Amino acid sequence: MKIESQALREDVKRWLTSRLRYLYAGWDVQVYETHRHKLSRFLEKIGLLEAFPAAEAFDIQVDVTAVLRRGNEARLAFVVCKGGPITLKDVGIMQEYSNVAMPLLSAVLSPSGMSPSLNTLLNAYNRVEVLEYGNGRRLKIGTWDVKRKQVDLPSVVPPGELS
Amino acid sequence: MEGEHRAGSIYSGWSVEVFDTSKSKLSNFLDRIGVQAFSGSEAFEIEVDIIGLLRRGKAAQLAFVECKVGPISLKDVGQILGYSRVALPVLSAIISPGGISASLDLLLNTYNRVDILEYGSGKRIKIGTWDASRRQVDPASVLPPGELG
Repeated sequence: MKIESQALREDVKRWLTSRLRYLYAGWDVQVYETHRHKLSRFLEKIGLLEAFPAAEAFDIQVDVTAVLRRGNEARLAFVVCKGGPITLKDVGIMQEYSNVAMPLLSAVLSPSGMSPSLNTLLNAYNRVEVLEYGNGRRLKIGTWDVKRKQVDLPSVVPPGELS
Repeated sequence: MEGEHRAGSIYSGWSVEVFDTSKSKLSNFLDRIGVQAFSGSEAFEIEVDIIGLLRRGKAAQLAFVECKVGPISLKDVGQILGYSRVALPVLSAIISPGGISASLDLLLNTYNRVDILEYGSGKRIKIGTWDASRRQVDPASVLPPGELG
């Protein structure tokens, strides 16, 4: 089932909003489509540049960005939505963005799931350490279920991390 | 070739060959040249511009260099970092005559976030400006400093 990029981002935005509001009750959660914006400019525009160390150097472009706020605290969450299968290149780029900005949640999703090579690497060779960023955090990879407008939970790597 | 000369002087005692691999997946390339020394290499969905292959007896090691034309961005670093975390080359570098982007310069030099270059145990991506007239890396430009010296 094909889906336009814009529609995919809209659906993912809705899913992420609902998921984060459930997981982070007590936080103000706002989710934005940011595929056309550098994160540094986006944070400046919404008045949050000062909330993240080195944010002026965030040369980061992701499709969907969530901003979570509670009092003086602020956190980020990132999702990249791919049209084709997710590759190691996609993972490396998202991981580096996450190493820099340390989001609470960072995920790469695609209706096509993972490429055969990435699947072999993560599932046959169990190289899930390649998903690590920051202190004990891991990038999540999953197949987007276009019909149900949510992540297909059994597809998620590392398993259970978007449950 | 600069890469072959450099690897040869650092890894004397190793056989060093350097290949232009900009159009090949590393998994296919290793298969084609009959190297089976890397665990999980059939899953190496990796494309870098230049690959060094170092061999000594049954041991084999890789080295990667990615060549960019414009300023090196965080996205470029992320791409080679992902590849390097998987294949764990002895050397991994990204170079460009355009040097690094203003944002990456700010991140690495002003905020000292060189931690974002780490892959594997104690290994770091090297970033440098290619001096086109001297046909070598400008040593003064290298980040982390001194690591391609």
